[in-house]
Amino acid sequence: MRLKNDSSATLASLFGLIAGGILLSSCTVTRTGSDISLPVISLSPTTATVPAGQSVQFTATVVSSIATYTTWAVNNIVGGNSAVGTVSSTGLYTAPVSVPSPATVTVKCISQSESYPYGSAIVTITSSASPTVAVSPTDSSAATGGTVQFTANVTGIANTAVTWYVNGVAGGSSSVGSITSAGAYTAPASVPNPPTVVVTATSQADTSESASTALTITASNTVPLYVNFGINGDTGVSSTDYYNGLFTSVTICLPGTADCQTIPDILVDTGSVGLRVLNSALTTVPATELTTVRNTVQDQVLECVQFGDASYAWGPVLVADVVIGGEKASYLPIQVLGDTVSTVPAPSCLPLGQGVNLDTVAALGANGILGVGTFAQDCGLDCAAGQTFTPYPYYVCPEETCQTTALPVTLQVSNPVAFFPTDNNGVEVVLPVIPATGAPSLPYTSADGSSMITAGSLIFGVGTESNNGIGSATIYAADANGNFPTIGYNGTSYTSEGILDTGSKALYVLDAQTLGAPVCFDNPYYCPSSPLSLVLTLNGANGSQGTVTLDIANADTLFSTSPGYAAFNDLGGPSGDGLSADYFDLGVPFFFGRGVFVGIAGTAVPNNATAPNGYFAF
Amino acid sequence: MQVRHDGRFMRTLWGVLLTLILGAAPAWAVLGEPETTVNADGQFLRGVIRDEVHQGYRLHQITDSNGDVVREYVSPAGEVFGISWQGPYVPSMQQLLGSYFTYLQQHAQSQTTRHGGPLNIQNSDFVFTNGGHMRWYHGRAYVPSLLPTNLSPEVVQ
Repeated sequence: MRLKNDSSATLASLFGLIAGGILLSSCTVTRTGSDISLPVISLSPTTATVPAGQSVQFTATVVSSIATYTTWAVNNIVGGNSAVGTVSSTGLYTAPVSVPSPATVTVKCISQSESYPYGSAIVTITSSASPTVAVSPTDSSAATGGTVQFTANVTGIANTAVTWYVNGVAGGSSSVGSITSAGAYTAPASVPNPPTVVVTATSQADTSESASTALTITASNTVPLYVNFGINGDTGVSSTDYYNGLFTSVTICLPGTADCQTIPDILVDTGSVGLRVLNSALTTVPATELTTVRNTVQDQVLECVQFGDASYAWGPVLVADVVIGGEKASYLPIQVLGDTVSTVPAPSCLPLGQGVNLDTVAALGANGILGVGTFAQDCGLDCAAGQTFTPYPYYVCPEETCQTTALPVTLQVSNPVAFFPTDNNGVEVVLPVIPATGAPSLPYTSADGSSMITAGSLIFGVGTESNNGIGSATIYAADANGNFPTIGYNGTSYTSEGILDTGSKALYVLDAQTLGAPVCFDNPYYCPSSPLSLVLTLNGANGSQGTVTLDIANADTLFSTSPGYAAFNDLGGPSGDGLSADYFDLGVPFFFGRGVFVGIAGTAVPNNATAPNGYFAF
Repeated sequence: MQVRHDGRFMRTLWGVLLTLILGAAPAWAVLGEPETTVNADGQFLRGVIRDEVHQGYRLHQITDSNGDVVREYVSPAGEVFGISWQGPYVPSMQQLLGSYFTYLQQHAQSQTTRHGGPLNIQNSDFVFTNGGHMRWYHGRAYVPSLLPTNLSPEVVQ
């Protein structure tokens, strides 16, 4: 139906007269063009719950091409009344002081145009005058130092402001975590005791109304450890397969920024110190954007590291922020491999001869090496003093000719753990028990789900958190070289020393003649006719002593019985060949079923033990 | 620019010093060579030499300022039949092994991947082992054909 402007004005006036002097109000009017049609009215909100005696504000929107007058009503009673509640000329509905029957009423904004079009909303009046508070998320968890955004949903009251508490303390505290007025929670730096805290939001309008939820702080000092063949996979050749490869992920950031890249398949090595990463693995955080380390005459420093097997790492020393789990070492010197055109200075760096250059995934079998051994730096005072020895690590190569350079300790490639703000005195390597026939990998779940082997853990800090206490473990102080000073076997005390080394695939002990077992024909491991149990007496520099029993199985039998398996706890190999009393390099097989602590030299030692050069404990 | 120039000068001087140190050592080797080369090794390593006489062989032990110990085993015939080393650093095998260093080079060229374990070489005229980790190495080498009769290779400790 179409109306003329003047007739609608007449109708409105007429309605006003009929209303008998009750105040008429105008809803918001939006005019739309010149087309004449009936007004369309909508209310916001369309539903509301109001405690008895409380109010809620409604807004009406009128879309109309003509001038129109409107009025507010409750249950079609203009302005409402004390039984159903009242509505003001501005749309403020006030519920009655007691709940009406029925408890639901209808609020309308009515046009006085022809046929009285209206918009309506349903209001439920509740008996409680108190607001209700709900908090989300519920039962959450956060890593230490991590953040969680909480939201409080306050209903039944106009003032929705809340005050946030952690364990009853407004705003929280450094020990249980802090929370802002906007609900942004930051977990404490270390796991509180107990590790679960309570986050509460309390209505500021009615402090008797609140809601709480539990939040568990998980250790940020832990990263999972995986055992597999590494990034090159199972080559099917037992002499070169990377058995017992122990890997984790490391995040590298441009120093002081949030520009980061997480790099998987980093070999975890308790037998070396410092982080070394392949240039080819640095893609989103390219090595060219990392800060260079320079010597006193501003020449860029490169490093050459020769390992005991004559392989070597060659490349620049660069500065990065290194994040592992929830821990971060800022501005840490690391080495990047395969990122230099300079020729390796073989005479002074490679005394064992020029072995394999670890500059590719194929050669390294990983994207990098994370050295978390007993030292804080990979060279120490000897390099700071610029002494000459081989293999000398630090070089500058102006005009492509490399020369040794002295380098202060603070610029040397460093153990990231020693430079975490907390949990920086060492690590614990925890690997689960595996069968004597090996495991395909860690973690591993059989196809039918009937058997499962968990991943291991690399836990940062010793005795610094609830999850890394040393308990009753025996502390074996390292000697000045980072070794067990002597190891006993079969009545002989071997002074050739030894180490617990996750960078080695096998238990490298003795020689074939001394052990009484041959080396396999087609791989470098022992092939005893039947499995051997080896009892070693480990001696610490602090006088502590303990025995361990290690099993060595026939490697050929292991590989044929368990093809495709990467993890073996009884893989052994000779540390010497034809000579007795060689070094004891106890690799990953030693670690299965154990938690082994590696303490960094110069840090506080648990249980009042004396271990100035670091320690091993298990 | 002045600083840069000074840096070049320092590097040049350093190179000269290195040459002098290296120049003090003869180019010939030790393993399989006459006993007189031991003194050359002492100069090369700039260490203190201690001589011992054992039943069936003589031992020269060189200890350098870095804490490295090199032992050279000499037969009654006056030939160095075995060498061992132990310490924070690895002495130059090219210097200590002389012509036998070729075996290390051959071994190195046969490798394509990291092993992480010790380095072992054994054949009829040369036995070599080296192990250890960053900031500590240990190893030894001997020539079976030069081993005095009635001596076990285990004397090379």
